[in-house]
Amino acid sequence: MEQRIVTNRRPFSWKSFLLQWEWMLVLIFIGINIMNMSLSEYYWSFDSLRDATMTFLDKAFIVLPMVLIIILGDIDISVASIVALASVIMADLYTMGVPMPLAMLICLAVGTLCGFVNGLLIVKFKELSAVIVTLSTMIIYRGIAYIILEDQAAGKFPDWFSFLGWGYVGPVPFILIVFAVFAAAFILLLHKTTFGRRVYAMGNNITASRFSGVQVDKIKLIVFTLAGFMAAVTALFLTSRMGSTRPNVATGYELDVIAMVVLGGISTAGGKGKMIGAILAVFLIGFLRYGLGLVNVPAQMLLIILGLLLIVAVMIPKIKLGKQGRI
Amino acid sequence: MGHFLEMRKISKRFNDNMVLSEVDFAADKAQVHAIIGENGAGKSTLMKILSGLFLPDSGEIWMDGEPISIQNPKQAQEHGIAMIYQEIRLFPDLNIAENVFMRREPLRTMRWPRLIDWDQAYRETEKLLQYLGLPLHARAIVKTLTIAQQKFVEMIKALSHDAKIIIMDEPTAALTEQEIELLFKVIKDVKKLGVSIIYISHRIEEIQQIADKVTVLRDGEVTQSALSSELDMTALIQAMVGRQLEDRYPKLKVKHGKEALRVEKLGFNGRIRNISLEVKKGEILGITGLSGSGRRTLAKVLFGIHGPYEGEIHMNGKAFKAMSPHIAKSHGLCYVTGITSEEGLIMNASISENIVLPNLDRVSHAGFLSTGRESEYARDLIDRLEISADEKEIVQSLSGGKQKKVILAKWLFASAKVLIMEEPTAGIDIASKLDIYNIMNELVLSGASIIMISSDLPEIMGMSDRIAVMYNGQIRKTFLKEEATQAGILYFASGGKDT
Repeated sequence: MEQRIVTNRRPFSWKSFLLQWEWMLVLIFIGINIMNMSLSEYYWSFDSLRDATMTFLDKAFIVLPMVLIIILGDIDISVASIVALASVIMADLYTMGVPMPLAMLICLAVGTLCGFVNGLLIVKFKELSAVIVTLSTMIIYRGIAYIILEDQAAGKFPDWFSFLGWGYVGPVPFILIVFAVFAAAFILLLHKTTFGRRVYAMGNNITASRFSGVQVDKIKLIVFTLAGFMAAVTALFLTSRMGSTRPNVATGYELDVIAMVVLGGISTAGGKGKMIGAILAVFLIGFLRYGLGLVNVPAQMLLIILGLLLIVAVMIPKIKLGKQGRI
Repeated sequence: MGHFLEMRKISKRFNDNMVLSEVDFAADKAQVHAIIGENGAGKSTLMKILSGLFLPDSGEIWMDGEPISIQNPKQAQEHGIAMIYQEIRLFPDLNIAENVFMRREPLRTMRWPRLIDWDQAYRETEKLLQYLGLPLHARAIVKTLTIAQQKFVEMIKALSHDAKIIIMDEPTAALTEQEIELLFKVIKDVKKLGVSIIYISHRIEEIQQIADKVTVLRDGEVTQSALSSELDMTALIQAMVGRQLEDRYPKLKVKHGKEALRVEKLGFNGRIRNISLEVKKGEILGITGLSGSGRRTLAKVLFGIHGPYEGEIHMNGKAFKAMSPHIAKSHGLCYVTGITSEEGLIMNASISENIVLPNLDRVSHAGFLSTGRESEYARDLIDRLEISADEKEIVQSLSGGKQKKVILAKWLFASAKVLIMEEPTAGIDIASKLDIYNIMNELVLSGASIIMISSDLPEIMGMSDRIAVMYNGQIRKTFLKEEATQAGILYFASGGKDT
């Protein structure tokens, strides 16, 4: 019947490979480094760059599961509150005499439980969107943290605990190693496993996924629970770096994290984006912040730059689409 | 000469594909002119040129004896050309009149502030509704209407634009027999107003009922253009496909085996009640009924989408609880949905990604995907179902027939034993239809069972071993293939009872 054979298979082309947003991020990253180098002579040294990563990597742990959540087309704005609650409970237990290793495990358990509760609410009450659910739990978790510590600081952790945030293994910061392990695990999870495939499918069309027998509720639950767990990991490293904790710790982290994910090219409409993009965005924002900090650029200025970058990140796919969309 | 609308020697190519070559087409006032042809024959392209979506590479359009230029949809509208697409393009949360007068609301005479004269809008809408004999209120919210009623709203919208030419693309695709009859009545009424109607369709049987003239396109060329009274069905099919189709329903006689699925006293939420049925291995059970009869609900309850339900479902003699699609799937029961883009496919994923989704375990080791095996299986199925596309192709770019085949391929890949197929051939061309019927044959030969839910009566009668007719959530009557007549099915489908 159909004599003409239609193939829409796109052959591999360097052009489309290099036109990916992730390469754009690499370019911006290089640009930022060049800019920083010309701004400050202290910027380009292995030691200072290595130490800089320690200051921004703590929240990067949450970026990893947030990529999954945003690919699902959902969002979780309670993560910063989970960090605070997990951190505060750990500190409180330790001051009450619980051994530190056990307190750390409980910290992880608390975070996981918080994430599980988020997921359960989202899955059970389908009429509530993830924004509404996590907005509520954001307030609740932070509230509980305040009840426990009553706006006080808690700390005086054992000396070895500071290793998490400040320690080195050889020349490499411990936090960087842990992050690299988690990042590799999440890259594999999203891009190489059936789980990741299902996450992408759900983000593109949740009804068709469900109609294909994908256990959509189970996957959502797992993803939100993972976010809770990773928020607790952040709590460990952040608390260690600061040496003490307060109920208002990590305020605003959720927006930083979401900004990194979006800058990483993950579409808030769901279904699109790569883990590596978000990881690049973590380093990009981190180095930008560090470099501008060196030359005393005010923090507000940095926010403006970040905002502009975000707009570009959101605009570029639209512009490309707009060109293709016309027939 | 002297036609109201003439398209002369229209040619159009996309890249290297000649989609239309020197097509002539003419339409007159107060006439229904059908354009038929298979998918890819160029009917939609021709009509998109007329409605200003595409520019032709060459050719002219004449109206009322004068050449006109149509550069964009707005100009087409100014010339009185309106197109009613296959998918409804209305605002579901607005009411009929608001939709009809969208973006050209009548204004009050007061100069400032410019207020909308809703009284006039409702009056005019009611007038048109009355003329067409539709029992609808101008304030009815569009999403509460049936698909057929929404088509009428689009029709009224076109009329209120003073459309002189209304193009309808596959208007009967999602309609039941009864709704189609009403649609035809409405079309005849609109025709009386002097409007020229261009009717694009695959369904040849409809053409003779509604069309005054027929033009057949094949591979971008006109193969036949004549008064519909001069052509019979076989001649039309031949003009469409270029070869004689012996049998439109190649049903094979297959020996039936043991019982595969048995349903006892199934009920859900009052939408289906007291449904008992069974399907044997190798059997095709047809289920038909008007829209709202509960056909789709039945399928969704069986597949675990709607629940909790009353009654029992047995697979291979064992009771099981259809709590979710996942559970139904793992018991070998699947639902080949009739709604491609929302329920059937991930539109911007590739063919292979869609095919393997229901059974990712088959292409993975310990949770890790093997893309090599994925492509391999996908290519196998693409060959077997004659989809003729690359497995990396994005399903969005496929024709409707190929998309339907991809949905089917998903469930063949998941080795489903009982397939609930909903409207398996709606809106696709004859050749693809035949392919799908042949796959159904192949499936039952291999011992699978099929529940075919369809509103296409010839198809139901041609392909089923038994036919269950639903009305108001219940099965009213089950026919054996030999006993079934169109009249008999319609009698029970519209609420008739055994006497």
